[in-house]
Amino acid sequence: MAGYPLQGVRVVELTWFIAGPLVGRWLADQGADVVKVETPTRVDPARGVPPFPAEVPPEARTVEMSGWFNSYNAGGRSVALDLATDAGLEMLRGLIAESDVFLENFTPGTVERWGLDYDGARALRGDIVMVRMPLVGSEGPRAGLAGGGNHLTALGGLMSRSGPLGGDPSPVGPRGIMPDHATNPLNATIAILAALHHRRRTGRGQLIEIPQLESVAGVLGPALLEHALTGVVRGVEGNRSPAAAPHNAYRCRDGSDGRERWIALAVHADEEWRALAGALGGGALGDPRFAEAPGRKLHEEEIDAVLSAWCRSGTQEEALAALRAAGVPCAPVRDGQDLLDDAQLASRGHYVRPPHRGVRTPPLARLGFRIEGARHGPRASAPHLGEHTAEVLSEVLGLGAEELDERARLGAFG
Amino acid sequence: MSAARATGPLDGLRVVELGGSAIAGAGAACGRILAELGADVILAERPGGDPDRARPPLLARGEARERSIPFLYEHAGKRGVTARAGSDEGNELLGALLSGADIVIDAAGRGRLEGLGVGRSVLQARDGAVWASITPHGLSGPDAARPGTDLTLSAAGGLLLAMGWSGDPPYRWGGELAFIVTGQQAAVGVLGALNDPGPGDGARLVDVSVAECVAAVCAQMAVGAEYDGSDQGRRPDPGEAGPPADGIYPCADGHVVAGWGPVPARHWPEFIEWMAQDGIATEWVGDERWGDFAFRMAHRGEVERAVRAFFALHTMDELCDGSIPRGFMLYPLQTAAGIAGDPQLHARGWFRPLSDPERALEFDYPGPPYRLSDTPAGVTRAAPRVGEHNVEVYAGELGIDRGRLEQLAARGII
Repeated sequence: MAGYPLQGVRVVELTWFIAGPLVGRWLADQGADVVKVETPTRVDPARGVPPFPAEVPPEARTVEMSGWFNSYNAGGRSVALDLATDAGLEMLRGLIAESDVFLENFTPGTVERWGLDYDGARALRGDIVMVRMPLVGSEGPRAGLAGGGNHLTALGGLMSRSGPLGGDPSPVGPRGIMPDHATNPLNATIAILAALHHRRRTGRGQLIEIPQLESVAGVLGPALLEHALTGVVRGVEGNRSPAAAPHNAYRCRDGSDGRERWIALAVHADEEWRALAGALGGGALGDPRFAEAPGRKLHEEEIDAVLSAWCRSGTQEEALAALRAAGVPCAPVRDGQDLLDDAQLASRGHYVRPPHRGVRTPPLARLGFRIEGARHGPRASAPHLGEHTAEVLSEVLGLGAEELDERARLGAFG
Repeated sequence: MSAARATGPLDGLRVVELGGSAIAGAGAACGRILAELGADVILAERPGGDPDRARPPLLARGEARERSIPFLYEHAGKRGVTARAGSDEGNELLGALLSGADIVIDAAGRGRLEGLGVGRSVLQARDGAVWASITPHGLSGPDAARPGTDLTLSAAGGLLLAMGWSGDPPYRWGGELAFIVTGQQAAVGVLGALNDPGPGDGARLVDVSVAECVAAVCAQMAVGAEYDGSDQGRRPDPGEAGPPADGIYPCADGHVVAGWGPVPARHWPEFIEWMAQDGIATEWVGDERWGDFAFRMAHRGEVERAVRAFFALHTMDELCDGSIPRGFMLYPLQTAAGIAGDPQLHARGWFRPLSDPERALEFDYPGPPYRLSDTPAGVTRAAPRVGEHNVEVYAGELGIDRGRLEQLAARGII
C-alpha cells in the first residue's frame, strides 16, 4: 500500500481565514497530521463565510457548513482550547512540543502574549520549524499596517496588471483574493518542505517568516526586472502578450442554456499561425502582413476582429474542434461548473469528496501534481469544531480520561 | 562580516532543468524557486540556447540571445550548459548530467526527451531522485496530448473567469500566473517526494499538469458552483449599491484602494478629522452619526464626494502611511514603479543588488518570498549566458576531457 510522503510529520496550527489554513490543508494532503487549535469563543471567521449548501436554509446554518472553511481545512484535526486559561495554554504548549511544524497567521502580537514567539516555541521543541505570515513583515515603517489578501493585491502590485484591455485595474484572483488562494500559502508550503529537508540533514529547525507583501510582490518579478532595467511600467493588458498575437479570448455563440461561451487561443509560432489560418479557410488571415510574429503583433486588432467574427458565428464546441484538429493551442474558458464537468480533471481525480458529518462535502481540489507510488489528497473532510480534542490530547499527550476531565474542570476546552 | 557562507535549505541538491517547450516558463519558475532556496540548478539548453531566450520584452542592447528580460528574471541563480539531445555524444553528456541529479525538471515537452533517448526510462538515476514532468494537461487523460500556453491553460483551469467583475470579458492577469502557480506546485510536489524516498527504483515521477495547477488555485469556483451555484471567481461591481469609501479611487499620484473589508466604526471619527485638516466636510467633525454604517449608506453621495476630494489631494504613500496610526484601511494600488520604491520593502532589504558583468548590467533583483532564520534564501548570480558553464560542469564536475569538449563545441554538440 502506497503511503503519503509526509507521513509522520505533525503540524500544529493557529490559523484562520484562508492563507494559513490552506498551508495546513496542502501538508495534510501529503499525509501530515495537521492539528488545528481553535478557540470556541473566537472561532475561525471562515466558518461563517458562504457558500453554504443550497439545501440548508439560512437559519439552519452552523459553523460546520461553510464551503470556505470546509475546503480550506479538510484533512486536519480540530482541537478546541480556551487559550485564555492556563490549562488551555498548557495543552497548546504540549502539542507544540510534540510537533514538527508550528504554523500561525494570527494578528501580530497574539502568540507573543502566550509566550509562543519563536524563542518560546523553540524552548518547547528545539528543532521546531515555526512559520509566521505577517502582512508586511515583523518590522519596518509599515509593520503596523493591518489588512488582508484583498489589500495585498493592491499593495503588492497584482491589481495594477489585472483588468480588461483598455479598462481600469480590477480585483485579481478568485473572489479578488489571489494572494490568499495561491501566492502566500504555496510559498509557505514550499518553505516548510525545504526547512524540513534541512532539518532532516542537520537536525536544525528554524523560523520562517513569510511577509505576505514580499510574497505577492514577487509575482511581479519579470515586470519588476523590466522596470529596473528599462524604466518601463506595465499596466493592464487584458489578454495581450508582448510575445504573441493573436492571444485573446473570443466569444462564441451562447450555449443552449443561454450561458456565454468563450474560447481562448494563443499563437506563438508561425507554424501555429498557418494552422490557424488554414482552419479558418485562409481568407483575410492569408494576408502576407500576418505571416510573421512582428506583423501579427502590429495588426493584432485586425486579426482579433476576424477571429471574433468567426468564433461568434459558431458554437464553442465547433471552434475548439476546428482549432484542435489544426493543432492550434486553444481551450474553453471555464467557469466553476465547467471545471466540475471537465473530463481531463476528472481523469486525474482532481476533486475528491470524503464524507462530512452533517453536511454535503464540497468538492476538494488537489494540487496539480501526482507523485508516483504515493497517495495525495485529503483523507477526511474538514473537522467539526473541537471534534478531535480528546482524541489528539490522549494520543499525542498521553492524557487519560481522568486527566482530560481535570483539564476540562480547569476550563482548558472553553 | 561572518566568514560562514550563508546557504539555503536546499544547499547540496543538484537540479537539472530542461525547457524548450511552450510551457518552459512553468519549469523555469520551479527551477528558480529551488535555486533561490540554495539548490544548484543547471539549465540544460540546446546548442545556441533555448527559444525562451527570444521572449520579449527585450533589452535594447546586447547579444541577441542575452536580451530577453523574462529569461534574465526566470533563470537568475542558475548555471547553464548546452547539449544536443538526440545525438550520441549529446546524449552521453545529458545522461551523465541527468543521472547525477537529485531533481530533474522536465518541461521539454511531453515525450520529447524519451523520443531523443534521454528520458526517465532510459537513465540510471540516483536513488531517491525525483523527476518532475511538467506538461500542459498532465501525462494521462483525454487532453494529455493537447498543446497549451499560459493563456489557454489559464482559461482551461478557470483563471480567466477569476479576475475582475462579473460581466467583464474573460481576461488573464497581466503576466504568466499559470506558469507561476505551476512552478510553485511543482516545487511542493518535488520537495514532498524528496521527503519520502519511495520504492527506490529509478527516479520517482512527479506528474505536474499546468491546467490542473490553475484549477487548484481556482478551487473555490467549483465549490460555489456545486454548493449554491454562486460565482466564487468574479463578483458584481457593487457600483452605487456598495458602501461609500470602499473600492478603487483616484488619488494625487495614482489609485488608492479603500476598505474592502469592515472598517470599524471607531475609526471613522479620526478619518473625518483627517479630512477636515484639508477643509473637507469640516461640519462632520464631532458628529457621531457618521460612525454609523447605515447613516453613511443613507448619505452615500455626500461621503463619496468628500472622500474623492480628499483622496485627490494626497499621494498613495500619504494615504497609506496616514492610515496606519488611524486604523483606517487605505492601500496604494502599486505598479512596478511603486514597488521599486516601496518604503517597507526597502527597509527590509527585500531587493538584492545583482551584478551581471558579462552583460554589463547592474540591477535590483526581487527578493525571495520568505525569510528563513537558519538558511537564508535568495538569488546570488545572474542568469547564465548560453553554455556559460559548459567547461565548469562537464570538465570540472563530470570529468570530461577539455580537449573533447572543444571538439564537441566545434561540431555543434554543445
